[in-house]
Amino acid sequence: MEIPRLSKKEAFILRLLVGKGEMYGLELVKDSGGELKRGTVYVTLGRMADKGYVDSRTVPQDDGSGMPKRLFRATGYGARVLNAWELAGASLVWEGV
Amino acid sequence: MMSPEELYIAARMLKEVVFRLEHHRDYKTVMKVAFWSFVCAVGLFGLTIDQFFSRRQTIKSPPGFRLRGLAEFLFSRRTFDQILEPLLRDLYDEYCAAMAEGRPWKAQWVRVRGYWSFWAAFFAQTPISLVKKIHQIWKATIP
Repeated sequence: MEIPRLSKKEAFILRLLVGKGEMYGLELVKDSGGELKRGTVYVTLGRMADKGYVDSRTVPQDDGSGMPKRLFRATGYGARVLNAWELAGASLVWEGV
Repeated sequence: MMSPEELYIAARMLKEVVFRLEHHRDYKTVMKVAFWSFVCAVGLFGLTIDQFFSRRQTIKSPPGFRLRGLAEFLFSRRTFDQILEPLLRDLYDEYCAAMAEGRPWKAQWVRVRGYWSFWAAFFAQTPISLVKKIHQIWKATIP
């Protein structure tokens, strides 16, 4: 069995998505307090979607731009991976590492 | 009537030229600075030479529309949908919000920052897309 990997940035995004439900990429950037950058947040979200941690859906806009907005949410698998990652981190702190 | 961004560019150019004149009194340097200020202004703000010198009111498309076409052409549907289009959508939203608030300076800043983000994502994604494409071709050609 392959152990899922989670980077610090991915964990940060998952924590925000688990806490707030569905969010737009720009909302993630604004709520991150400088932790996430506009240029890289979608690259990270795309990688997380490939791993199955997040899911997204388009929201059509009737403003004439022709560009839909994309809402992201954590999947059940993503939430479980985050939970396991936080438990592992907490146990390492408890061990004094 | 000149737009605020044209006024700003003209003021910056004038300031630069005056500064150079005061400090160097060198005609060639002044011409060089004026030329490069003009090139930077045209490049940075996406103004055409015609727009730069004319006082006509022009209808501009929101930023990112041409980039959207380029990204759609160059990248796979998945990369375009998940990474590049949302970036351009954010640029569009923030730019329109700033213009609606009557803050053209903020709109210009949003535009520059948005372009920077787009190109950062573009160059971050290019090697990945390239490797995936080569892998696809390799898999398709080798039985």
